[in-house]
Amino acid sequence: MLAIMPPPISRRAVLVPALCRPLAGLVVGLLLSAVAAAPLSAMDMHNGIVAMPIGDDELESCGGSAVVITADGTAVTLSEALPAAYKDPADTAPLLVTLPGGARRWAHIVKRGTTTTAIELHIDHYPASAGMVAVADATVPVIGCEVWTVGNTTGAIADDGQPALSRGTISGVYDLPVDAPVVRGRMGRILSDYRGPVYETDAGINDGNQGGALLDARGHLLALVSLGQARERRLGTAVPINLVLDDLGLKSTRVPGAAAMVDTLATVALKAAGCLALIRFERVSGLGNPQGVPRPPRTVAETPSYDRDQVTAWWDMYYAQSQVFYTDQPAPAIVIDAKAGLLITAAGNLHGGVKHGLIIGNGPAVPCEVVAVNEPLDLALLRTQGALPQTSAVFSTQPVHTGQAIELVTPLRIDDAVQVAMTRGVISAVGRRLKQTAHAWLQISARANYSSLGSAVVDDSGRIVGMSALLSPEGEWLINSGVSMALDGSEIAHALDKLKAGVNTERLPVLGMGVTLNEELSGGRLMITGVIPGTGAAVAGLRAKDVLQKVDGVPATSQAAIARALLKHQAGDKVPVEFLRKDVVLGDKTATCQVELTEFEPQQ
Amino acid sequence: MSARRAVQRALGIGLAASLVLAVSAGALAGAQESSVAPQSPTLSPALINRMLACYVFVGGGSGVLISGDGLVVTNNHVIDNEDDISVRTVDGVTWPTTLLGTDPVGDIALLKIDEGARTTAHRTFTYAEFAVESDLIPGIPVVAVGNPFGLGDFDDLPTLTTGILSSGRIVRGDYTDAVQADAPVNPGNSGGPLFDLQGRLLGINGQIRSLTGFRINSGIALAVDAIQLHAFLPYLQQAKGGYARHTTLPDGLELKQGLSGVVVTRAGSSGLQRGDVLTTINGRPASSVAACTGIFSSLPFQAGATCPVTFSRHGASQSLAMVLPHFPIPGLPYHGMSFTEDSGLTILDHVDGDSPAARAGLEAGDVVVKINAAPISSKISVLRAMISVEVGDPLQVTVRTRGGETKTVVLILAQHS
Repeated sequence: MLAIMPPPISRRAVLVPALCRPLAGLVVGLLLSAVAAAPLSAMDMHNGIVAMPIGDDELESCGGSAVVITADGTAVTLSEALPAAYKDPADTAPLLVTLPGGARRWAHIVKRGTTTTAIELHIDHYPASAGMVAVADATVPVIGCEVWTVGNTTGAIADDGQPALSRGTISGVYDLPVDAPVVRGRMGRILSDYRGPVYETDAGINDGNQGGALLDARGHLLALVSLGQARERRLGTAVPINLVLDDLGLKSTRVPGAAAMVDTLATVALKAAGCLALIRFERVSGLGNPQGVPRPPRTVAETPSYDRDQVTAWWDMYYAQSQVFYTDQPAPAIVIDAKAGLLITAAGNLHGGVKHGLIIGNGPAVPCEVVAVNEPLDLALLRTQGALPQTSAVFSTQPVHTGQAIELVTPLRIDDAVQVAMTRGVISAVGRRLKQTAHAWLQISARANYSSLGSAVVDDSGRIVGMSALLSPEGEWLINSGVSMALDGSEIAHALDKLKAGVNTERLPVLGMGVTLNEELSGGRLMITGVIPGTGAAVAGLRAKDVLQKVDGVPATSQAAIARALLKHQAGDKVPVEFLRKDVVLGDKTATCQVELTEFEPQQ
Repeated sequence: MSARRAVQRALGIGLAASLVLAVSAGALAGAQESSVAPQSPTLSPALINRMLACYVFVGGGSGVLISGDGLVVTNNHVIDNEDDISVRTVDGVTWPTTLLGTDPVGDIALLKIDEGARTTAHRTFTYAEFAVESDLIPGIPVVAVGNPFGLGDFDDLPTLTTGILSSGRIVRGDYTDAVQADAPVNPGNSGGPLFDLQGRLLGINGQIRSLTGFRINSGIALAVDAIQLHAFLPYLQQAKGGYARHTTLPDGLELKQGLSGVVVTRAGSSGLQRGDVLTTINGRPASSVAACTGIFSSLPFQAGATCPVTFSRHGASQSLAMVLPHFPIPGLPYHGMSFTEDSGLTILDHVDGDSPAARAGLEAGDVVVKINAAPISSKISVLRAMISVEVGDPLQVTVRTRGGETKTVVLILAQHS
């Protein structure tokens, strides 16, 4: 039997409560409970946020942002917020910036940082009325604490004189690895070349936010927003303000303790992270850049005009493909029985017929094997030899409801440490049915990406209400869209016995009448193209070319309408089917028959 | 790297502080409740049910009920030139509707659930009340309801997402009176409601902006705001299936961004003077040339109606009631008729099915006598009679039918699709 060592405390374990350390959540909660939440108006958040000018480069759609931190107009930003022409340190030409309210002022670059891409600006004749931002002590950022992004999002300040706001949480704290490739956007535009410690946030970060503010819940400046992203996450990041100020040699009074604002949901969700594990699978085939699109050799801007359409399309395809997944990325799993060494994960993490994995953490890796897979539920059961150091997951037995707040809690490994990332959202729909599966899903709005599959959806009691399982059932949703599906606790519980017995389920039967239908409508209704012998439809006497009028009282206007009508039935039920039979001799006639429903294997 | 060392130093401090707290907190184990106010809004089941009940599925998108008798607003791009549209309420019932009017410039359409279907079902709908300007406060929590990726086509379940209002009233691209929100919004949310936590309709979600160019949520959802919806409502109700129009900048007015604000460089017919600095237009701040252009184009057009404009001239504040011209609806005007000449007569040679002409009752074989009061004697005279017509204009057509009857009909010129 393999001995499992408790993971050592990593340096990041304090910053981000590490896996298997429920106490960390408690620490966070206590740290913060002393901090009273002062009401903050959005107008306060507009103070001191200025728009940088837009450059001549056609890849820039708007200027970035900068944040004023002294009353006389000292502002900080990141080099990625400078128009392309100013990225050359030799260029000392003034920049025309837009203040909140729409007034314009000239600004000069005073200093360029050497370690963080930080830039110090001075804005001439800066009016006191445009405000400034107090700097937070950003040395104790906490996952789950409330933050706001404020900036020139898509040109908000330049156009309307109002910075755009977005609220979220600090969803991760990690280092962007030094050897990570440059983050590029569409058409090859370099979004950020910053490497180093960042806060990840699920608040909106978009073009124009770069160099702008990440404020804590009291409106203090915690970090400068960057368009850089960890490839595993594809969520916005921000450079801690203390690093920026140190890099620029700026002294500033830093408001202590303001960073740490974590509510009950975040606190209990962090605690619940103690049941999560991270598994490295030796995947036979990967999904990352599945079509193997090579990176275009140059950006669109570097391309002669006659070739630009082609290079633009190339970049778009490369960008879309490389968003998808990374083969070497470990996958989350939920420990459901620590003593017995049982874990569940999303079956999607096992693509390529994976049978074995290694549970990684801050200690020695632990081998695990795939016990069985339920494909329609996208659920896989894994087992280790011996007990696991994690806590066993506690699933909620309470009914969930639409609009209920949740955290999506994900174990994450970036660079060298296993930690927790956590995005906030609500239950968007309960009992979501998808065409290709027979069961109901929980739909959640928290940002989810491929690194989230198999991670836990946690409610404000700290219990698990579901496992993130599906981002893209039909290949049309993309990462972090605010639409993803989780498998709820009862579906998991229902499937477990079979999984524990090692029984794989490849397909679930779907309910049908026994007819094939043409999507073309005839008089607004569907026509039968064929009847499967021996089925309810055949027994009831339905024939090809009959036009379905109503199925169980519901107008047969689409296949989805019929499927919807059948959802509330079970195999063996008889439903009334009204149909029109066209007959040139006898004349058209409408009749109703009773069709017994049958279970079918869905078509592949 | 000094940055790295700096953060590690900082972490060291954080570590010590946390450990101290953890130790002293040992006796309080279990006291993990935080006193910090919840970040996520608490949504009561009653409020959620009300928000969902006034939602409707419309084609590939969404809509929202704004009256008990079944007025539905959605985006123009959701109905997309179709006039045979049905909507589905969240109880799965499909209702036929009539298109009362549409605003292709502002991306608003107004549908009415057919009265017959409604009364047969003895149905009074739950509906959303419009928010007023003072409700559009940046930073307030919001709820979006929609049908992203068509998920609800199968199970009649709309999707509810939450976020905050990112802005007050703004001009963004071709949305001239909009609010921005960070609630997740995706294709299929179009036309669907954005609510505040009192269940008031802040706007209808219509656009997404994204850094990646993918048509998915980015945290930037743009909604046509309740102020514009409310302003256009009477015009849409009276449009008889046609168009409500927008205003636009006075002829010849040219503006430039100066250090002190938006400056008039050419006054044209506006009544302003070169060098005037604009302050507000229709009560909204003149913060940039883009904002001014947008606000001038944000109002429902009515001949002779004026828009208040405040400005600074030689340092003194002044105001002006400006008459604004109409904004032409983009696209080629479409009537659906083709003409032929025969023995000195101009005859309808073909009428497209489901075209404005067909709906007005014109048929192939009708002899065209007059168009907009101009006598028609040839195909050239038809072109001459229609030389200045625009999308949305009424076209009065007098014909002699095959039966020998003379009739005059009015059709509304549509956008050529």
